[in-house]
Amino acid sequence: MVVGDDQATPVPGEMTSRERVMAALAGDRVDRTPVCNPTSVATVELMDLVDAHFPDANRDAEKMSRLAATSYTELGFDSVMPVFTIIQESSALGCDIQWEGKDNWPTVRMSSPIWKTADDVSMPSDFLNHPDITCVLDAIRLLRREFGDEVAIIGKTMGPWTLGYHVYGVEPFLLMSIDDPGHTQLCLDRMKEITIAFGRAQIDAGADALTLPDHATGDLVSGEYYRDFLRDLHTELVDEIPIPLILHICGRTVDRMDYIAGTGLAAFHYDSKNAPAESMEIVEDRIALIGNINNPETLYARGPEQVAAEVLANLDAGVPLVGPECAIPLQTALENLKEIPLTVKRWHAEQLDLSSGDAATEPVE
Amino acid sequence: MGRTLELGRRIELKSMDPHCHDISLGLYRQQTAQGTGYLVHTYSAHPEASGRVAEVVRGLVEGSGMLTLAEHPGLVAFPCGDRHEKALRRTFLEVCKLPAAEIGGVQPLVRPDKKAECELTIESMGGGSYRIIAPEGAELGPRRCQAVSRGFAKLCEMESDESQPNVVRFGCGMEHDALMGAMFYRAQNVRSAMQEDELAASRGTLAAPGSQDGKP
Repeated sequence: MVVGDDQATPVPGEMTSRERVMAALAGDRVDRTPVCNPTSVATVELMDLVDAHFPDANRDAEKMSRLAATSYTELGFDSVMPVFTIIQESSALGCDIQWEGKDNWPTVRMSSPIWKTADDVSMPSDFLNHPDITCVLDAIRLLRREFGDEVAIIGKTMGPWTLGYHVYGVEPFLLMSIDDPGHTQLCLDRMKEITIAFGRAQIDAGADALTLPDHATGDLVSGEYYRDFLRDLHTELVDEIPIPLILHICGRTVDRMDYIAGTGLAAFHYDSKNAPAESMEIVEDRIALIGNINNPETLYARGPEQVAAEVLANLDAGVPLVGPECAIPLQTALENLKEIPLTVKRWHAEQLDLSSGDAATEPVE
Repeated sequence: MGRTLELGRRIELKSMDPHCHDISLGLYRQQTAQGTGYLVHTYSAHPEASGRVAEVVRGLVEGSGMLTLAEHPGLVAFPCGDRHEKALRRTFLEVCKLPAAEIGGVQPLVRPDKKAECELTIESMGGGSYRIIAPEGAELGPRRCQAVSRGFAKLCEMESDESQPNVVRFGCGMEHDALMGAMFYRAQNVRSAMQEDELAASRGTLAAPGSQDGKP
């Protein structure tokens, strides 16, 4: 975070939400720390509020945009993110999808993989016209039309490692990476084209930044795996997709943060298993961190006081963008989510009071 | 302008009500001058949603002995003034499982028990204490009475007495016959209640692809 102390520091409340997010992603000065949602803050109560429920809100552009807008209009976040799921591309590639109902996430039936080798990797010619792709593109267009430059619109394009889990199955893909690393790299290189195509289409539709979930997670693969298979590939994506990219990897990832920070990606959306201060020390100012409010224990099961404590830990560590660590549980209480921006605004008001005593502050309520 | 409301602390959620178009129903704790009150609320604008909320509130009042707060007619509370929140949350979820026609009425304090192979009875001892008893001569009865007592202690955060293992007591020292009746079935089947909780907690949480079970 760069909340500067010289004349170039924006006055609190001066920046729009979009300006705030984009500045933080670029490492520039901000009037306050943006509250950012690179994955999903959809809840069943918000679905009721705007009459846009899962699974329809994952497949219908109008409902998708309506639900995504609540992140800004109801919760006070500085970004909106209409791509709630991680399976849109996999559906368009032909994976078998279990769409589930209102209160659960759709998943790929990974027990029925569609590909076996690198030769199978093929992006259908009508990939970008598949309904589960066009709904995302249309939702971004709708959000841009509704909000203009007011709020940051974040899209999502899945990285090749996650696509590998979906199309080859988790176990076969991981075994392939052990048995034949070269072939695995070939698969990743070919699947990268899918990531690029969907990402560029979202830029054309109006996305300001893109989340890049690529689940080389701490519990399944080591930091060396990230270095060997993904570091260079992610560096290439920075050149191929010309807007800020926010890498998302769940779990304990401090063993790969140094590699991630060297890719040129704009930001890393990091998990609560990594302490904010420890993580900031590793990445320094090479990449912006976003996160890392715990989902299952804090946002889902505890109250605003505990949420505030985690927000403060991030602010005190200088984390540039604050938000949940991952897609929040659909049953999360709204008061916990609203507490994130409230705490951020309170913290900044206190910082200003400490430094000047009478500085203007952005309204907290 | 936001449309969400300041409803207090949400303490329980029925994420999909099968008896009313899968709307979500929340139970919120609010602090008033009269003490703690609880609100049932849905954000759904479905035409039948407000009627469903009223039915669930009726279920809490009739089924567990709660009262509507005089100066806050939307809020309900236990007459003793205590929260009994764990029991209330469970009761709320149980009421939400029922269609409107089956909501309401006090549940009996005598229930058949398959494992005891007899009927079990909840007997009020006064001062908020209750004894679970089985007919004399029922061989499996005493053990089951102790197990059901432990079930009540767990589900309703009641106090138990080591010297009388079939007795449980509300900390408030007041009678809660209706609540005991409402929770009787669950206290007999406490393990399934716990499993239900675990299932509900895991549902709706997005796992990383490597941790997902590809369902057949």
